[in-house]
Amino acid sequence: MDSNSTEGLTKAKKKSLLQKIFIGIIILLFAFSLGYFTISMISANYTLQSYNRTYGTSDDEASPVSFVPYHIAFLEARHTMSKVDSISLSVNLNDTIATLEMGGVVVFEAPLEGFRVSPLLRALKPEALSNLLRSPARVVSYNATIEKEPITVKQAPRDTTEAALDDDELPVVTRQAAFFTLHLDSGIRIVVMPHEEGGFDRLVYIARQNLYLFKQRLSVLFKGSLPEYVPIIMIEVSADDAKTLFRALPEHAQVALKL
Amino acid sequence: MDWKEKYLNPVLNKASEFLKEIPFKKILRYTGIILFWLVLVFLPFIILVYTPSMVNGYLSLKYSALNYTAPDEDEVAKQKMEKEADRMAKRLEAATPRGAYIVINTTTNTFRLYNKRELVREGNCSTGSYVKLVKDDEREWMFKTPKGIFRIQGKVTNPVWRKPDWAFIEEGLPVPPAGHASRFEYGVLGDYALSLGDGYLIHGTLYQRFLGMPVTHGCVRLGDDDLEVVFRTLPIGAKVFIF
Repeated sequence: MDSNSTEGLTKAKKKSLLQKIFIGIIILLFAFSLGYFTISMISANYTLQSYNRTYGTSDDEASPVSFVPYHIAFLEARHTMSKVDSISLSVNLNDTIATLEMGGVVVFEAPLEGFRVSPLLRALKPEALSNLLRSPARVVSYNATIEKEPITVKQAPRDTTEAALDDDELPVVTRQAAFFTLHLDSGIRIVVMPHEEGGFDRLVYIARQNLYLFKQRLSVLFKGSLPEYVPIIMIEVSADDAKTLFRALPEHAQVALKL
Repeated sequence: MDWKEKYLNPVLNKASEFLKEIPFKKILRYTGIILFWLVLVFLPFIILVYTPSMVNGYLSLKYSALNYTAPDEDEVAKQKMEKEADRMAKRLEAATPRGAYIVINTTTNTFRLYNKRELVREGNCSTGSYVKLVKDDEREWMFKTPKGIFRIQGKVTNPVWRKPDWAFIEEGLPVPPAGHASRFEYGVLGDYALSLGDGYLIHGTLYQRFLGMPVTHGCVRLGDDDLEVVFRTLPIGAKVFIF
């Protein structure tokens, strides 16, 4: 055999090996995506059942929890929130309005320009949904595109000359879009979008959120447990209102919902 | 020779020869292979990206199939619940002061003044700048307006500003002893001041052009006309909602 034909054989072997690796990767990707899809479906069902179990009545339960109409459940939640002086949030999708309340007094109203509710919440048993909504949820964590408090650190001037330099400076007010997500202890996530901010900013925020959820699900999957389906309520308000809502709410604010 | 034989036929012949030479089967085969690989490679990503929508779609279908209706309550229980709801609604309504109160929005630097549950005035104000003043890494002050429910604790006309330490440090001046004459400044707080406690005031300002901006050291500044209306409307004890 001459060297040319040996070289040709090696090339052919390499090519077939590369092909095998490529096909292997694709098969793995396929298997993974189908698995992910199946598990997502199962987890949606599981979460639905778990909400129904936690807040609703199980079929074999002896004393069923009675159904409270949604408007009364919302009133009950607001009434509970009114007992504390801190700022709380009410989201009323029926009247398309989000309000800030302090001790039961409505201090700010933000009309909703649009909203979307995860179908899981609509698929809950009415008793479960009303029980879920009759006590206020608490914000456990949040993420946002703006800071809660826009703190600027300033070193004290050494003398009057240095102080005079700052004297006539106008404060810089940055117009940053406030996209934020509140993670509630009931498992629901409230995503607030400024209505005017369409296009790229919105796309980036949604992509980030989805990536975060995907990463969270993957890590749960790798730990061998079933990832949880996260019900989301997405509301759109004006850019100024979004900023006000976010900045006004304390870190662990209470939230009442009417779907 | 007519024009067809002379001009058209050679072109048609050439075109048919060219078409015969095109390997249609090969092109179809390769297009098929390329499409197959494209689908194979991108399908997993499409499945991953659209999984949330498909799950939501599935849940929506399930929701329509379930067709839940709210369970019927017996009339007595229903009436009892509605009564309780009425009571709660009344209690919530009663939380809103009947007299005068003011609501201050520190994000937009605006205020709304209410009396007898009606809006009587609204406008711009200035609230805390969120500046953290640091002196030699030893002392620091945070200039922010506190949030919460307050009450008017006192009202003064022609208030005198008793300058705190930070006012001197901010100007690069040495801090004088307590009670020193340089601590008292006249005319800078406007014609009126309403105390909220802990040294926080609602007062006027010389810097009217900064109204609507976060520039204060924690107090709430109002324009001259607004301040007068607020001063005359809010009695001592009136509620101040700051968020």
